[in-house]
Parts: sequence; C-alpha cells; structure tokens
Amino acid sequence: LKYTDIGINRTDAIFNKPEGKILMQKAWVEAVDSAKKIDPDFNEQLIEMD
Amino acid sequence: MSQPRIAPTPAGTSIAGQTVIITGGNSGLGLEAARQYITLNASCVILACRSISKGEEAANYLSSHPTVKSTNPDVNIKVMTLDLDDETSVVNFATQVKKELDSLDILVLNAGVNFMTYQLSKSGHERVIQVNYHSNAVLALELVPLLKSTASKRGQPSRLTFIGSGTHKMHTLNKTPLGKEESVAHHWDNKEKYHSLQRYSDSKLMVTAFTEELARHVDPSQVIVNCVCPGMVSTGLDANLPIWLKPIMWVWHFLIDRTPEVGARTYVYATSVVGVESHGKWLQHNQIAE
Repeated sequence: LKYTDIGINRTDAIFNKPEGKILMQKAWVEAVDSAKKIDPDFNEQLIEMD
Repeated sequence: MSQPRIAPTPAGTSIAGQTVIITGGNSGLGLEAARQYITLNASCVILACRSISKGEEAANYLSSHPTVKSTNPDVNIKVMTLDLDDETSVVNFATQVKKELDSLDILVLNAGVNFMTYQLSKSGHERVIQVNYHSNAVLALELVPLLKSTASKRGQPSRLTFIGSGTHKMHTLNKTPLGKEESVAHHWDNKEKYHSLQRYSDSKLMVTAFTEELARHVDPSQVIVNCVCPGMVSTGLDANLPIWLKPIMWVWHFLIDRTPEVGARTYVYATSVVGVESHGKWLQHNQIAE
C-alpha cells in the first residue's frame, strides 16, 4: 500500500484512493470491535441506517 | 501572514431547548464553545472532563459570565467525568449519559492531547492516538443511537462533530504505510513506526478518516456527522512540545493565531449553521474543504 499522494489538500481525494478506503474500513471494523469488547450491550445495528 | 477571517455566527442562530455535550469543555476551545452554545440558548450543556473539580470551576465561570447572565441565565450546566485515556471510562460515561439524558442534540468531540514521547494509555494503546482517535471513535459509536432517537423526537437531525486539524496533511503514512494485513491499532502502537513530531497529525488523519466512514453508516436525516479544523488557536495544546520548538511556535502563534472566541465559532458553524451538505466532510475556515 502506498500513501505517497495522501497528503494533498483535498480530503475527498485522500480517502477516495484505494489505500484510504482500506484505512477507513479497517478503522471502522476495529472501532466497532473495541466498543463490543468493552460494552457487552453495544449493538452496531443501532448505528446503521434504518 | 494570517488565517482567513471567521465571520461571527449568523444572528438568529438558535439551539433553544437543545442539549449539548462538549468533551474537554473545561478549558480552551471547549470552554469557549460551551459559552457560545449557552448564549445560543441551549437548555443543557454538559462539560465532559477528567477532573470534576476543574469542570466545576469551568461551570462556575460559565454561569457567572456576563454573556450567560444576560442571554440564558437558567441554562443547566452539568459536569461529568470522562477520561479519554481509558476506554472503560468512555463506556462508563456513555452509559451515564444514556441513563440520565433522554435527549442529546449536539455532541462535540473536542478533547485532545499532544505528547512528544511514546507513552501508553490506560487502555494499552499509544496515548495520542488513544485520546485523539480511539476513544473518540468508541464514544461516537456509543452515543449515535441517542443522537438518532433525539432526531426522531425533534424532527430534525442531531449533530456529531469531531475536531480535526489541517495538520493531518503532515501524517506519516507516506513514510511508513499501513501493512496489507496490519491492523490500524497495531500500526499506531508499533514503537518503530512512531514519529513524535507527527503523531498529532497521524491522530487527526484517523479522526478525519473515521468521520467519513461513520458518515457512510449513519443517515444524515438523523445525524449529521462532520469534522472541523478550528485553525491555529491560542490554547494550551503546545504545553508538551520540546523546548527547542516552543519559541518557534510562540512566534507562529503570535503572528497568526485566532482567539478562542473566534476559533470556537468554527465549532458552532459545524454543529449549528452548516447543513446536511457537510455530512462526512472536513471543514476548514467555515467551508467544506476542497
């Protein structure tokens, strides 16, 4: 994975790159896992769009 | 050398009847933002901070402030304990919020730190990433359901605003990329990939990334999720910088800093002025960053 162009001044462009998308998806999965680990009542379905 | 001007919050902006939580609301930008939300007629403002005594001092400052006395003397100002260094504290805080509040309109994830040495948080992650990113992500996930239920009651979207920073452009992922099979947490906890001067930037890159990803999961008609950079503002965030960098930063701050009053307007803009077009976006100088 290369993040060479990630520092340009356009947030959309940063995260529209494949590397950025992978970063975001991993961040999401790990944050949800962290919440589940500490809070047994955490229900990710309550976050998602109805 | 200067930053673009930030216009005053438009006259007529009102959050009457709304409940606001500001993390790190006892000092700096968080405290000033709390004052501004109160003058916009919030019914309840919660200062979430590590120290109850410092929080109470801040609450006393706010309730005796002339602008509060003249605009919203009956506001309910509460102080609640939140230690972003510890994810258990984050969940305990969220549990208390869900138990005690029947509505939450605005959540401002303001609290942040900057350290120049590698330290571990109480939850076992590198400390800057823990406080600025991991804990805020967990707190947001915990409180989105309450923001959603409030939106259903009000018939208008609630607001969740992360505090980002334009310094995210100075992140280290170009030098030390995330490995294909590597977890995000593992990457930032790896001491060999730690760059002290850029760790703050890395943490804010993660905040911006998480904002955009969270926005994909949340319906903007229920919760508008965005991220705002307040610009360079005179606060205590530089306290932990190395001594050789402090004079440089002092000159820099002297030349271009915004006051907390002006910086906090960017929070109010992100939560109470800009609309659904900001969902998932990063705001700088009161504009959606392009």
